[in-house]
Amino acid sequence: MKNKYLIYIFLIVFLSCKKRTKNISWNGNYILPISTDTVNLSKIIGFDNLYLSNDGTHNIYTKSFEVFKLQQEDFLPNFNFTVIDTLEIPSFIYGVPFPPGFEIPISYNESQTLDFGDVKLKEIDFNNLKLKYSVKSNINGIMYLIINIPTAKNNVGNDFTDTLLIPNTNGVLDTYEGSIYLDNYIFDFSNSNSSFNHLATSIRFGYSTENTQNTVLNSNDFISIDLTLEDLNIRSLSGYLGNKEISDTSEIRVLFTDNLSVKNIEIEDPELKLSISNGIGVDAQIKINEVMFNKDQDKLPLQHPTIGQTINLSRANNLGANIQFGYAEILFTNQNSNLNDLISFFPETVDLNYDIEINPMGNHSAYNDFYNDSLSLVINSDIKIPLKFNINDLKFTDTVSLSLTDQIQPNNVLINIDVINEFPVNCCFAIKFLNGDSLIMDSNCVSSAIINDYGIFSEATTSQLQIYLDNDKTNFLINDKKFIFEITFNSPDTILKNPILNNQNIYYKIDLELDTQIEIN
Amino acid sequence: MKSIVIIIFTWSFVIVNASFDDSLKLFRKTEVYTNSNFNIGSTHLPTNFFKKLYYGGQINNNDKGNLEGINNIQRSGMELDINIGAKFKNSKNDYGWYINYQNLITAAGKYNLGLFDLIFRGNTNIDEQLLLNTTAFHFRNHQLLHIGKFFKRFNAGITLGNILNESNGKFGDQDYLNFTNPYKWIVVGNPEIISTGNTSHFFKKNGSSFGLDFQISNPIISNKVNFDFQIKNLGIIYLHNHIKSINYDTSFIYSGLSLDQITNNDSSNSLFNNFSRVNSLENKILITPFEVNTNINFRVNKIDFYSGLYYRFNSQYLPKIYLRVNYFLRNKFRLGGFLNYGGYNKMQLGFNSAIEQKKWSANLTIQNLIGFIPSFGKSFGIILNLSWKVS
Repeated sequence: MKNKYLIYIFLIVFLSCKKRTKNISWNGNYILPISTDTVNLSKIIGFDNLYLSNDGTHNIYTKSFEVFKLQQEDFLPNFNFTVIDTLEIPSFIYGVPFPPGFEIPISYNESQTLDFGDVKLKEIDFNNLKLKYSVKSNINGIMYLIINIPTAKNNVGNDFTDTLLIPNTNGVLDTYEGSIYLDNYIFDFSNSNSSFNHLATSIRFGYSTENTQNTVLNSNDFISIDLTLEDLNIRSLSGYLGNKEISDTSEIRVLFTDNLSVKNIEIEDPELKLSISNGIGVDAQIKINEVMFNKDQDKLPLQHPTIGQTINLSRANNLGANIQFGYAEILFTNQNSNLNDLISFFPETVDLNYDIEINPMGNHSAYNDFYNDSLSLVINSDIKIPLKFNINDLKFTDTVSLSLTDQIQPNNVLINIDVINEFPVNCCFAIKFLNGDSLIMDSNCVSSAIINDYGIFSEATTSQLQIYLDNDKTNFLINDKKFIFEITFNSPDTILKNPILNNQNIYYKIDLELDTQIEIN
Repeated sequence: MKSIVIIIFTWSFVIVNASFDDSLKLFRKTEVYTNSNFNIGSTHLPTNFFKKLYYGGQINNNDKGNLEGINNIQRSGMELDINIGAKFKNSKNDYGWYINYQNLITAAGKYNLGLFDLIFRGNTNIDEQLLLNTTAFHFRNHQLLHIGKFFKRFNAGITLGNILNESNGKFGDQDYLNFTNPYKWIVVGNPEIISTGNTSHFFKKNGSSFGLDFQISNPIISNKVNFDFQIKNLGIIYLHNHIKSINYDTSFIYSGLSLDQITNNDSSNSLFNNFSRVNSLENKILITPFEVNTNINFRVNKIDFYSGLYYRFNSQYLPKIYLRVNYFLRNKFRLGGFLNYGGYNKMQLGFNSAIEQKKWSANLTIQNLIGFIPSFGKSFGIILNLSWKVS
């Protein structure tokens, strides 16, 4: 009987030690700050290059950016600098035993005029380049080759000269390849101002002192060398750069975010200036065929009298101490273009389709074209947008990700928003679910700041908004893990262009009251 | 380290010298025993709360205790103290040796009620600054070996410990949380938290301890009143490996994310990015969680009155005062009750029963009778002592 009790006690104790089968959970009400920030126009639109207007009532946004730059490879041909030289061995030295260290007293001089189409080079200054060599030989004994390019001078005025050691081939034809890296060499292709594209080389060869016995050449012995200039990093060049037509399209990313859209925006006197500067010593003609502004799948072309017209651009002049650029300028305004529409479009990218012709008049400069790698043909744009506008349904839309840990299972949510508005715009908030449904809010708008008769800021307004999500909506939101947040801005009236200074702000605070179940393992 | 060696040597010398005369007479009377104590409780939480923490389930509002002032200091904790040992007595007198293996597992926290409310009720109703200056917590799991000599009036011994877990934390005197502004959380925190965990190796742990045991018992007032004073495991813990610590300023103000962070889904300023434990390469020396226990008792006919004080160091323990009354039904069986105040609880009403046979004895104590009602009682504890005279 006692044993039976002992077994019962043991069982009770054992069963009491069972492991947890349910999660620990509890309900709580938590408030947490979601976001607090001070937002000015720079922050909303995403730019900060602002200066004050002359009358001090508003800021003006300015930004310069490079629209296009002609690259070296766009207008220079692929230069093929290759010299092939077979070193003919004279028959009278056949059978003569040459001791180690003996140099054959013959120079193999090669002079070639290279074909670069209509490009006639006088001189190229290389930052660096690679001289690639390939030697074929079947000569017995270890040899050396001395390569000399008399028209290639380094920065202290010495010719390029280098010695290659060719291993013993033991009479079997073999190829030895390698590269020599050259920095800061100037190649003179003018052959003392008598020619163009001219490359001269001089090669000698002899027997290495590493040989242990005399060496004899015979009629079967053969040696040749191929020299090629590769990986050309050109600092500058001169001559005639040829006539070339280039057609291309370049895409430029612009400042506006894809979160913005507007039904209509009237901006006071915006300007876009395109400056075309030519830093290359060639004449050029440029034709802008089309400037297309893109947003998602939508496109809007720039309309202006110069579109499709040829613009003549004079060559840069080398004045010795400095370079005088060729220059042209086009100004786009509301009066001569559809600029206002383009700004209202809030484009994401701009496609620039253009034709450029180099030296349309041919060798007009009598071989005095020049190119310097630090200068090019560049189109810059300067945009000027006064922050004085009337807006109709300017929308900022963003998809906000929401990630809650599995431990937090909210029952319902209350979002409190406090706003102090110094902007001359009404702001209305909307929250949309991914299925397109909108969250119904009792009050969702913040009043515009109080403005005077000229639309100038006078006094801030304060608004408090509350968004309540019941259990269904909360679950929906949590399951979707994303929602669309939308703010719509509207000017207080449809006529007045309201000035904004960058020190006008929207101050906001958002907190979240969460009635939630918390569950942990 | 040198001083530790001197203390060990001196203490061992006292024990060994004291036993020299009797050393050949050991093991004539041997008694083995086990003392086990399990206790869980809180100054504000019903035991249902702990039951659900252990077994799982929904913690409802009743389980969260009463709403009081948020800066009222509260304690919650548990202790599991298992002892298995043996006493080897001389047959002629009461001298002898003892050896005792103890596994001590304790976990406790001392905190302002608001901190509990913050976690389990939420911060919606916290409308004043929540002080952290009294907040402290610990978790430990120690294996201790007590060896010593007992005499008629006193015991003395040493305790060697293996530290399986030792975690301690407390906040600075100026630390607080302020959630009164829903748009701005202010957290001022300078915690000192250290933690070392267990290893898979059987003996080689991340910490060791050494302590001294001492007990003196003395009859006063013509043998009718007895006085007893005991210190157990007074010494040091030496943590020497894998010590993790948070010992730096963790203060921050959180106002939510900026507009850029929201629109770019950038959580670099997230609330939870600020804290990380630092692996400390320095060794740590701590004072052991020593126990102090003093009792006074006197017997009038068949009634034994018993009063005392118990305290465990560095365990968020409120010194416990108790008063017990035992009635001897027969000489070998007694029943009693007692009142406790302290530890991890407030007032407790307990029950005690003991039986003593020639060869064996047993003692069962229920720490808090109200603890049998989990939705109401705030503590539950059982002490079971068994001993068997082998020879």
